[in-house]
Formats: sequence, C-alpha cells, structure tokens
Amino acid sequence: MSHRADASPETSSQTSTTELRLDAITYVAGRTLLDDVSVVFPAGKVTALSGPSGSGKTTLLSIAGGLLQPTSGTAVLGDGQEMWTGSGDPLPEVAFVLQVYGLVPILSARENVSIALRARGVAPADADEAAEAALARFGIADLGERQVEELSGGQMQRVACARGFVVGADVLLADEPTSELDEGNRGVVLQELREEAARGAVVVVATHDPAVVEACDLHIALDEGRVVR
Amino acid sequence: MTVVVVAGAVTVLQFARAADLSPWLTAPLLLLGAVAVPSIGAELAVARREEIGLARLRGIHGLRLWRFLLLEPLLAIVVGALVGLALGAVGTVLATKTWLDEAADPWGRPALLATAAIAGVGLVIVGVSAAAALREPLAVQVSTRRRPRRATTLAIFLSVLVFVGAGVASYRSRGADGEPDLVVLVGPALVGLALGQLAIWVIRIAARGLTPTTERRGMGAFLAARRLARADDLVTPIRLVVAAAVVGSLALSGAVSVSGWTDDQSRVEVPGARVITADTGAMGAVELTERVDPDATHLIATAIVRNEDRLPERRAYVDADRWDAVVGGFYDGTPARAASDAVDRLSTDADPFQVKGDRLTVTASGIDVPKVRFFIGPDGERVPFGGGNAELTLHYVTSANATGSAAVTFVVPRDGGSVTKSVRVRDCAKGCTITGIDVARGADVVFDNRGMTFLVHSFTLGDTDLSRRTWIPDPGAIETLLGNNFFPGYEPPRDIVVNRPDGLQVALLPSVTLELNLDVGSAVPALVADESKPQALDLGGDDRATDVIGVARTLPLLGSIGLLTDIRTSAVGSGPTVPSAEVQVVAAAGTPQAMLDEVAKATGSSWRTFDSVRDALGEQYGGAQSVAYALTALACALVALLALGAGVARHLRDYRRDVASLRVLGISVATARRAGRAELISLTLLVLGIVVAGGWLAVTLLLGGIPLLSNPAAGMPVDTTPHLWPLAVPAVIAAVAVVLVGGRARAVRSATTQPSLLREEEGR
Repeated sequence: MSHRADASPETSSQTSTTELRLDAITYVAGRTLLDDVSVVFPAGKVTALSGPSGSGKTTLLSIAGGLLQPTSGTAVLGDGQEMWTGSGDPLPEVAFVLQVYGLVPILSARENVSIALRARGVAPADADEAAEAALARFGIADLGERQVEELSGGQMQRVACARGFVVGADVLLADEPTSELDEGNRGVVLQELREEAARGAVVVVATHDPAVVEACDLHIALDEGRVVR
Repeated sequence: MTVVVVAGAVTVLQFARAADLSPWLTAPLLLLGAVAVPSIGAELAVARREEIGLARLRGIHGLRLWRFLLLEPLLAIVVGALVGLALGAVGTVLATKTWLDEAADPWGRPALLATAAIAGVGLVIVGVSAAAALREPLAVQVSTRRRPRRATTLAIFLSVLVFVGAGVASYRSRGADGEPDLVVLVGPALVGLALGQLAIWVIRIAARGLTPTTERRGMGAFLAARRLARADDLVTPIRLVVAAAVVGSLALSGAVSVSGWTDDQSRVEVPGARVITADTGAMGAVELTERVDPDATHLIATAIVRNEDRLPERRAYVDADRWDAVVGGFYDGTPARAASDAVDRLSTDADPFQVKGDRLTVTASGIDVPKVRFFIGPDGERVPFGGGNAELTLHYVTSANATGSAAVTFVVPRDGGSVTKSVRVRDCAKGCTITGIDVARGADVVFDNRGMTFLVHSFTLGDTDLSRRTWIPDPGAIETLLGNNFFPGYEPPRDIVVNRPDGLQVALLPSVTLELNLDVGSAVPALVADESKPQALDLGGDDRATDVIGVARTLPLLGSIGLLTDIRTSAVGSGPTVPSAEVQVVAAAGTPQAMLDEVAKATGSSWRTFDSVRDALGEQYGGAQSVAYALTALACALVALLALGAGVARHLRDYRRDVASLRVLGISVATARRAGRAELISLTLLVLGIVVAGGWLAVTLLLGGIPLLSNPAAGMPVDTTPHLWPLAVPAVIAAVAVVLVGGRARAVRSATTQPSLLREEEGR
C-alpha cells in the first residue's frame, strides 16, 4: 500500500521552479525504517516533517538528501536528478543542518561556516565574509574564532544552521534545527527558514516541536516509517 | 604498554646485572614509560567518563565506585606486568646468550622489584586519572559532547621540568668522570622529550601561522594545516616518537663510537692480520722473522712493555726496517696513521752485536806490564803480586733471552810476546747478543795498585772478532776509584781504552773491574705520544739517550701514552728483554701459510686473528654497555610506537566522523585524502629534521658523559663526535613509523567515511 502525501497545495502563491520528489521509498536496515513512503517537497515552501522518535524522520531526510540509498523507491530532484549519487555524498544543490550538527572540531565556528562555501568554489576571503554575516544573523558573530568544542549546544546548533543556510542551496534539509534553542533563537531560525523558502528553495524541517510545525507551510507526519498525515 | 615497559626494563636490568653494568641504563625507558602511561591513563579515564556518570546515576558511590573503576585497569596492569616479566626473561636469555655468550639468570631480584614498581606506579597513575574523572560534575560525565582539555598546572610544570632536566643532564655530562650518572643516563630521553615538546610547539605555531598561505593553496592544504594546528591524534605522540628516536640516535652513535674505538684500539695493539706471542725475547723474535721471512715482507717482530701502573715507562719496540714493507698502510684512516708513517725514521745504523760460536779465544800482548813481586804473608810465606795476570769476561744474552757470561784468564808476558787462551761457550752455539766485556786482574791475584796496559789482538767468538768493535769504558768504575780512600790522589790513566786498528788497548784499573760497553752510537730516535715523558729505555730497561723525532696523539702498539723505538737500536748493548715485555710476531694479511706454520712451530704458540683480538677487546673493556643502551633504545622505540598506535586507534573514529562531516558539506574524499597526505608529509619531514637535529644535539652534549666502555690506561679516546648515519637511521625509522601508523590513521575510504555515519551517531 502506498502512503502518498502531496505537500504542495495547488493554491500555492509561489511558483515552484523545482521540487524534491520521493517515490515509494522503503528503507530496511535490520528492520524496516521506512515503508513505501511517497512524498513531494515543493520549492518555496517550508515543509515540517514530524513524528515520534524512531518514526523515520532522519532516515527520510537522509534519503532525500542523498546520504542513504533507499532499499527501494526513488528520490528525485526537479526534472529527474537522482539524489543518490552512488557514493553517499550529497549533491551540491543540497545543504544540511544535521541533528548532530556535524561540525568539524579542528575548525573555528567561522571556518565551519566558511568551508561550506569554499567547498562550492567561493574564494576564502569572500567565504569568510559571508560566514561572518551568517553568524551575525544567528546572533553569534562574536563566537566566530571559537573552537566549536568550546561552544554550548545551542551555540553549536546555530553555527550548524548558519552553515546550512549560508550556501543558498536549492534544497535545505534541517533535522531538529531548534532542539536546543530558546524561543528567541527559535524565532530567528524559523525566520531564516522562511527566507530560504522565499528565494525558491526546497526547505524541509524535521521536528518534534509543535510550534515549529505550526510555523511551517506544510506538514507531513510519520509514524513507524509510514506517512500518517 | 605495561607489557612493553616491564619486558624492556627486565631485559636491560638482567643484562646489565650479568655484564656488571649500571642498572640505571634502564632510566630512559622508565622515563618514557612514565610519560606514556599517564596519557593513556587519562584517556582511559575520559573514555570511562560516561560509565562513571551512569554508575553514579544508578547510585553507585564510594568504595563500590572505586572498585568498579579500578578493577579493570588493575587486572590489565597485573596481567601486563606478568606477561612483561615473562617476555623480559626470554629477552634476557636471548640477549645474554647473544652478546655475553652465556645465558644469564632471567629472574633476578632487580627484575622482580622493577616489575612490581612499574605495576605500582602504573596503578597510581591510573588511580589519579580516575580520581580526576570522578571529580567532574555529573552533567559533564553524562554529556556526549567532548570538551577541550586544558593543560593542568602539573603538566605545564612537568614540561618545564623536562627542559630543565635536559639542561642539567647536558651540564653534568661535561663533568662526567666515567662513572654512571643517573641524570646523564636519563639525559637522552630528557633531551628527546624536550625536543619532542618543541616539535609540537613548532607544528602548532607554524600551522597556525601558515593558515593564510595554505588557504590559497587549496582545501587540502588548508585542512592539513588546521589539523596540524589543532588535532591531537598524530601530533601529541610525536613527542614520544622524537624522544625514543633521540635515545636511539644516541645508542646507535654510542655503538658506532664503541665499534670504531674497538677497531682502532685493536689496530693499535695489533699492527697486522695475525699475531702470535713469542717467549724468545725481542731479539729472538727478530731472529725468527729474519729466518722465516728473509725478504722482510710478511713478518715483523714487536715488543710492548705496557706498564699500565707505571705509565712513564710504557714503551714499545718495533723492527723499523720492516715496518713499511709489512705494516704499510694498515693504519690508514686511523688516528695512528701519522705515527705509523714516521716509524721507518726510527731505524738507525746501530746493530745489535749478534754472534754465533762455541769457543771464546783471546790473544793479547803486553804494553806496560808490572813485574811480579812478593811480600811476606802473616805466616811468613812469600805471596806474589803484580805481573801480567788478566781476565776478560764476555757478557751476552742467549737466544732464549737469558743472560750469560764466559771468562778467559791469561798472563800477559812482560817481554812483548803474545799469549793466546780460549774457553768453551756453549750458550752461544745457536747465537747470542753481546752486551759487554769486563776486564780485570786475575781472580787469584792479590791487590795491586800499579797500572797495567795490554793490547788485545783478537777476542773471537766463532768467526767474530769482538776486538774490532768499538768499546767504551763505563765511567762508573773510574768514579769508584776516585772516591776510594785506599787510593788517595789516584789519577786514572789518560787512555783507559783505545780502539786501535790492530786491536783493543786496555789499561787496567787497580783492584776494580773495568766494564767495557759497546758504543751504542748517538741517542735513540723515538716517537712519543702526547702525554709521555720522552725517556727511552733499552730492551733491558736501562736508560738510553733519547732523540724525539716526532710527537703523535696515538702511537701504534701503545695508544695515547708511551714511547716507540726501533727494536734493533734498543737491543744494542742491552740486557735481556725485560720479563714484562710482550714479545710478538705480527703477520701481514696474505702471509703464506707455510710461514705462519713455521713461526707457530718455533714459538709453540698459536696465531690470533685481528678479529679475535678485536672481539676480546670489546668484551674486556665493556662494549656490553652499548648493547645494554641499544636494548633500552629498542624498548623506548616500542613504547613510542605503541603510544603512536594507541593515539591513532583512539581517534580513528573521530577522524572518520570529521571526514564524513566534510563530505556532507561537499568536500570530496579525494580532497580529504590530499589533506591527510599533506599532514603526513609535513609531520614526517618535521620528525626527520627534529630527530636528526635532536640526535646531533644529544650526541654532542651527552655522549661524552655516558660511560660507554671502561677505557684502559693509555687507551685511545672514544670518538664521540656525531656521525650522519647513526643520526639518520633512527630519524628514518621514526619517519617510517609516522608514515605507516599515520597512513593508517589518515586512510580515507569512501565506505568508512560516508556522511550517513553522522546519522548513525544520532543520539550519541
């Protein structure tokens, strides 16, 4: 049985230039983590992905971002670009905000943000400048030279957000981006997510937080590896 | 780590005990172990932080918590110590059997005590680390996030102490008196640790300073610089790697020094490929070489009077006429070369007076012979005195190096006629060396103070007429008469001895034997070592006038103290070779076997090869010390390798996670590999450079103060200047270790660094 959820309302005021389509995704790793999930994440919208722990949110984001190869089914961007590249590396069009942050401890906060731009060919000086601006947007401009291991959980999460948002990717996949943030910073992150969507990106946020779900344009709920809403 | 430290310490301790060396040769190993174990203990405690936190949450406190914490390391240390003890015993047996020829007791008391001490210290260190981990707040213990650890005051103090210790060791080594000094022995490890710490600082500072440059050279260089500046897995163990390599450099340099010394000292003592002892006396050995090797191309006679307790009389004699042909370039490339090149200048025209014959015959006639007179004795008898009674006594040294004499008594006619008398001399049938002639009135002649002069026309032994040689009177006899109260106002004859073309004219002294010596010519040419008093002695130990023709730092046969003269020149008029002389015949390489056999048969001895002499020297003067130090260096290298490998293994997961994080950002596996290679190359080059520099520094500062061997009196100084290859080999080994272990650490396989790793670590 196919669990399809089309998160793209026909009444959307935005014109989607692209979309991220997951079709009949099943993922088995010892047990079935995702079972025949079909969803479409439209561009220009912030889509919330909710569900209890172990429901498959992170696995679905990983397949959507090309980090995991589904056991069956396809994840396709736009006109047919497969998200799975064969190596487990994401496409350049994809940016992540990982639940575990994925910050590189040998780099400072600024370098962690800047390096995402440098990896996309931006000159180091320009990348550093953009990184500082991104950190400033999340209120941590003064922490740029700090080692990431010296930061608190919330500060690390904001660095991870700055890094995910700064590259201006076509697809932004954020896994629990506000889990360690206070209300004020959560608002900042949500505002940034909105701006990302506003420039036409596919934005997907996996979250437990009802307030975040409430703030998103679209909502998909998972439970035990299936779409329930 | 416990296994390696205990096994190394036990092996070195037992080896040192068997070779009668200082147990403190283990000091560098114990120091490196003491540095390596705390870091492992600290890592262990950090690794168990989460367990501690969970145990506390479950209500485990106090003694139970300590028991929970210490049981596992206690077991590991005890089992490690026992295994190390067993391995050390095996190492002891192997090492002593290999280098001391006899397996030593592997279970000595020092080994057991050292094992207990190492295990005890290890437990204390682990306990202290555990206590530090226990003191952390519960929230930190249960946190999954790693926090950077600041250097403690104790760690900073110990780092400073290492630098101070290295300085003290260098200072003390300059004043070392050859006795083992703990600080000097541990010095190489201290210098190595200090340089290792310096290397880490250099890496960190240089990597930070070069970051802007590396940014322009691409992502790989940038990431490499950042990792060198901040990552611990490869950089921190470099300190131990450098320290162990510096200890290795010193051990290898020491071994090279000892080997070079043994080689040079062997060459000093044996100037040829083979040597054989002859108990014939020096001239007997000369005769033997002349007989067996008449062409003078293979054999040479030498004699050494070592006199290590009376160094001013230390001397050696060589057959200078044969030196160039037989010894030739044997000393090329050694400190004794200059002296060797000058040996042929020791040769003179003086020749020992060797004769052969079994009958001594004298023919003499009077020049001024007193009449026979009489006096009335106490019992009224007529006692004759005066007249032409005379006695010639010939003194010689036999071919068996024994003294002997033969006397001919005769009456010189007053009428100008001649008299001939002869006597049998068995000792000289095979040849002997004439040392002097005594001239006196006949033994049964009563005291007479009137002079008597006669001419010895011939004084023959075999075919040799002794009167044809130049004889000079011993001034001692005349001085005796001048001070004699029985002869007040005595004036000696103007010509006591006249060496005439037709014979030897002799004027007798009243009542005193006149000793005639062979004219030994001018002073004896001699080569003198720096520190020697230039006084030549002949073979019999009597003073001879000396003509120093050269001063050298090192002399063949003698080393740094002594005086070298020609064996023939020194035999002229000399008594028998002194018993303390070691008379030898030396054979050059390529001497025909027949010659060797003939000499062996004549001397009744067997030849010793140069190599056997060399080996014996190494054993005699404690070359085992360099072996013990090499064993210590080997154990240090294992400790360092283990520390490096353990550091890499502990951080491998983190490194893979870092690469996965970079791949999420779009950085390729190839770029990560490039970064790893750049990091490894930088580290390898730095290790190469700092180990060579550190080794050079340690050798220059410390090697002279480490008692590598018990240098004999007048032994050649041990050359402790640094040589390139003993410095380069440990550096290359250290670099290879860094490349191999680091290569494993930086192996970036696509499958093990997939970004999805980060998803799998969710919740950690």
